[in-house]
Amino acid sequence: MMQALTDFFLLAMTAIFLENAIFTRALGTSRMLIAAKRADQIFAFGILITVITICASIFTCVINMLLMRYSWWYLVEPLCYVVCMCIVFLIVRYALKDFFPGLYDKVGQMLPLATFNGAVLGPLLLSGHQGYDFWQYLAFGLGSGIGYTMALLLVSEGQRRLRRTNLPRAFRGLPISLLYIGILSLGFYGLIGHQLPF
Amino acid sequence: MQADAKNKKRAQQPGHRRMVNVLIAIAPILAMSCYYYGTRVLYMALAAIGTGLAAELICVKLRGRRVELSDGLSSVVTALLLTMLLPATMPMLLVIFGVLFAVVVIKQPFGGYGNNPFNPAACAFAFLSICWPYYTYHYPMPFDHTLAAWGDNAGKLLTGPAMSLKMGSLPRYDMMDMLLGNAPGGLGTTNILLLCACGLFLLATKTVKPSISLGFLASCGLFAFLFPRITTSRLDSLAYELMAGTIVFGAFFLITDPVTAPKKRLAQLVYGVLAGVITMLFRHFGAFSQGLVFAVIFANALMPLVERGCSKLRFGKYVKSTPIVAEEGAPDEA
Amino acid sequence: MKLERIRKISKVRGYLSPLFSNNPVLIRGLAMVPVIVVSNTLRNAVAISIVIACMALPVHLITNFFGGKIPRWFRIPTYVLLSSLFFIPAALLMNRVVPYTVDGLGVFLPLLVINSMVIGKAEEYAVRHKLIPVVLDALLHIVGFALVMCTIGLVREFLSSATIWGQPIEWMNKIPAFALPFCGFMIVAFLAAGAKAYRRFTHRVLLAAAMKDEGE
Repeated sequence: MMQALTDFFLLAMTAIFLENAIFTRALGTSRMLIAAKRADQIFAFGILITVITICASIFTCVINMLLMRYSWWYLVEPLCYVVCMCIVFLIVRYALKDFFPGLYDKVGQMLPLATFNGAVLGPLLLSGHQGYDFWQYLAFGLGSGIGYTMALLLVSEGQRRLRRTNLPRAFRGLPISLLYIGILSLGFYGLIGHQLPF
Repeated sequence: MQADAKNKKRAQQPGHRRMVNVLIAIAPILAMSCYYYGTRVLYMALAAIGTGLAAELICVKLRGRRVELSDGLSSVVTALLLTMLLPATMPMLLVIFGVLFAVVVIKQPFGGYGNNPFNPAACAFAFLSICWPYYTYHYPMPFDHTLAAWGDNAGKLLTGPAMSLKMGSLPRYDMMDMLLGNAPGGLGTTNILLLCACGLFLLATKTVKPSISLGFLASCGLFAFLFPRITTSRLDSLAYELMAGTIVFGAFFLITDPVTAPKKRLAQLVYGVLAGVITMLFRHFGAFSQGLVFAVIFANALMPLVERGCSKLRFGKYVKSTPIVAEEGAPDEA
Repeated sequence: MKLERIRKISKVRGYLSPLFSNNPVLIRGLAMVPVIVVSNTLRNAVAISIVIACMALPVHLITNFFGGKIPRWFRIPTYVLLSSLFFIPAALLMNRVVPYTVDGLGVFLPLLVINSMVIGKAEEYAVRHKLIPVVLDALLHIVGFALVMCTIGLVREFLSSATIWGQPIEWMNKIPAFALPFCGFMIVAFLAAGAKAYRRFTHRVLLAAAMKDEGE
């Protein structure tokens, strides 16, 4: 029991720091750069992503264990995972609408963006490719969501700071955000030290 | 208009004086490393300074601004700091690449002097250690004056004490050697006594803030005392961890960069302690034997959070953070 | 230059804008995940471009026909389902053209299904406009993306493993660290800055010519 808890915790820590969704694999980057800017919006987005990843893991774990051994799996994999994500999307949407309408008003706009996101599909696919079992799926999904939220906070902090400086015209907006994330990614590599598997 | 220009000039003077003080502090370290390793050090320093000045000039002109003294001074400081971190056998081409990276990638795209969120010397050293780890982490023995200036020095390289600590064993050099700089290491990072003397000079002239340096050193020491990597004794661990690698150099030269450090005292203390904790965590769990440069990157990224948190602590409810209006992409496109 | 001619040039430039001055990756920030991480060899770059091309065109066509009829909250899930359906023939075609790249791409091949160039552009453009502009727009965006992807793939493969399309080059020392994501971030950042500068430059040239003509 203690061993299982330790393994869970270690895998979640790995997903947060060593395999951070944004800084080591650039998952969820396109939407992120136009997404939430305030801290509470980022927290809401991050919690939504974590919850959806964990819920979807339940379905995808089962499907993965059943179909992983076929050679045509790589063709049908996205379709199966997307169907799972659609089911979770519908469940979450109707649950929010019926039981927490106030919450739905605030986060309803973000829901499609948060569900069909690299930061959700990425960890699902990664866990599938590495053949994790059920608890490892959950640990990796949880850690990945938390790591994504922390990375978003760091990046939004940096963007806030960059807005106050006088950047050269060619670098304003997208280029400097990418450069900032690139330098932070350099820092994260000091923790990892080797090329992560795709 | 004239009052504006005069005020601007007066505000820039402290920046100039600070950089000149840093250069004065680096000079004896540079002289000492020439004493250890011969004339190659001078060639490295000259190559670094030349590349830094040329790159800075070209980039400032590309940005369409006038070249000012602060640009030149800051690029000289960055070049010399980077040279002091590297081993004496670093190939010249890689020194040039490092300085180019520091100026062209870390400093100029953010707006040049005063606007860079990350310390250029630390980031350039991180880049060099990732791309060419063999050359960056293998050092020659001191007092070896036979280093070829342009040729290949690969036959004479050893790993330093930091690598021994990473493996969990005592370094091969005793504490007196490490204090006096008789151990292998980066050019300016081995002679701890001289580094402390220069650090005291910087503290006395108020060029660096004691809250940052001493907070950093204290937190590193406490972490090394509480979680030793070597098995002999905690005091041993404390001494060796502080003396091996770039911690003392970083405490006085890298972390205290006024552009990337907080302005208020409480924030500075928290920043120093945070940087120390992250450095020691990188040393324990990271992939490289020295974690300071990567920790500097993270500390610089977390600095605005620290500053905001500390000012909220002091003033409580009187400080309200204004919500930032979300902007569309490319706000300034014609 | 006559004002009429300048107007014509501007119009053509507007149509062709997704190639350089309004490049989907560099200026608009779409589809950045594959460009940053998997562009470390030319083969990977070509493979990704083929898959995106074969997914984006059908999805945009279908959303152009039926997009308006789907309730707004379910549009994005529909687009994603459609693109994962078209992923199957796209991946088969990719295997035919550049074989043995599936393992090298790993997770990032299925991730193309939620790519913002396929989904985001469908929601933003394909639903509201007529057929011919949608097809042209999709094609140009795909070409713009492929240009950037293959350039970066070529440069990164050359620097990180000293090969081009798998053929080794003798005189180059490889720097394996350039295959890491941080290098991708920095290269895309500098290319994006270059694209922005180019865009400003051409715009200023046209504006100066127009004002000179008006003054005459």
